[in-house]
Amino acid sequence: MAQLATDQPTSEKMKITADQVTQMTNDLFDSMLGMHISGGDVSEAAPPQDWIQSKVQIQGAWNGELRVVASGELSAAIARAMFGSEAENLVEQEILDALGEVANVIGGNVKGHVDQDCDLTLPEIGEPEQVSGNSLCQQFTCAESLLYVVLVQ
Amino acid sequence: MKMLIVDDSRAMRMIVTRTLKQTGIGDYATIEAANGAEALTLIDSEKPDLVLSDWNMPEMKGIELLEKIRASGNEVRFGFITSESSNETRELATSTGAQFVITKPFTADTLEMTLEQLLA
Repeated sequence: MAQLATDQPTSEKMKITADQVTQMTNDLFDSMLGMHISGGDVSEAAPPQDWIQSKVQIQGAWNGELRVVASGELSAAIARAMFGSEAENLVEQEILDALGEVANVIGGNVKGHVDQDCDLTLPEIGEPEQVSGNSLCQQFTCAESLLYVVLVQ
Repeated sequence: MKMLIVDDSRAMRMIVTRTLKQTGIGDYATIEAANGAEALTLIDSEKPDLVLSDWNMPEMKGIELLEKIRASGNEVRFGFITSESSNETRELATSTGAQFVITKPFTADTLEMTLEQLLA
């Protein structure tokens, strides 16, 4: 895993709030996926290790990482919402692609809020990573399953 | 009208296609490319009227695709549909020759309004 830069003075680094992440997440699920999502409370509990994580990194004048962690069932539900009429017989790669796009869209919105000279990496899929002290971990409910959105900043 | 949708994510190409169907824009066809190189080939062979491209793609970013299109003298209408919503992104897109930038997540209304203005 790439190390996040730590040389930014905390007082000068723009912080994204939980409310902003909640709004970005709601906008994505409501307007583009047509899926109802609720919650957004800050969670002390770490996402289950056997779930799927997609993440993007923001690198440059502002460094951060946006992770989305979902169960296999919810990942498949998100993929069905994205693929619409062609959602039958989705293969694993298409399900992971869909979850990657969730991280990509929310991460891109974070980058837009920061509005500094940064690059957004392509989505990476893997196992859930530990939630560290500088992480904002939020828990949502969608399609009767939990969804975690973690912002490392 | 023929539209070329360029995105490395098949899921996102599906969303753009489906959202286009939800707009009131009629009489159009879509073709798809999964990367910049494929897009350049299709622009040459299919001659689309409009290119809708993602920004952040492997190998060739959307902005590099646009630079190559303009460098070849092709003035096809070009817009980005991207999660990259910073002012810097918008300024670079416009200065390179893009007609618009739509930020993800987007709705059918946003897409329709943008395309109607462009096609008016």
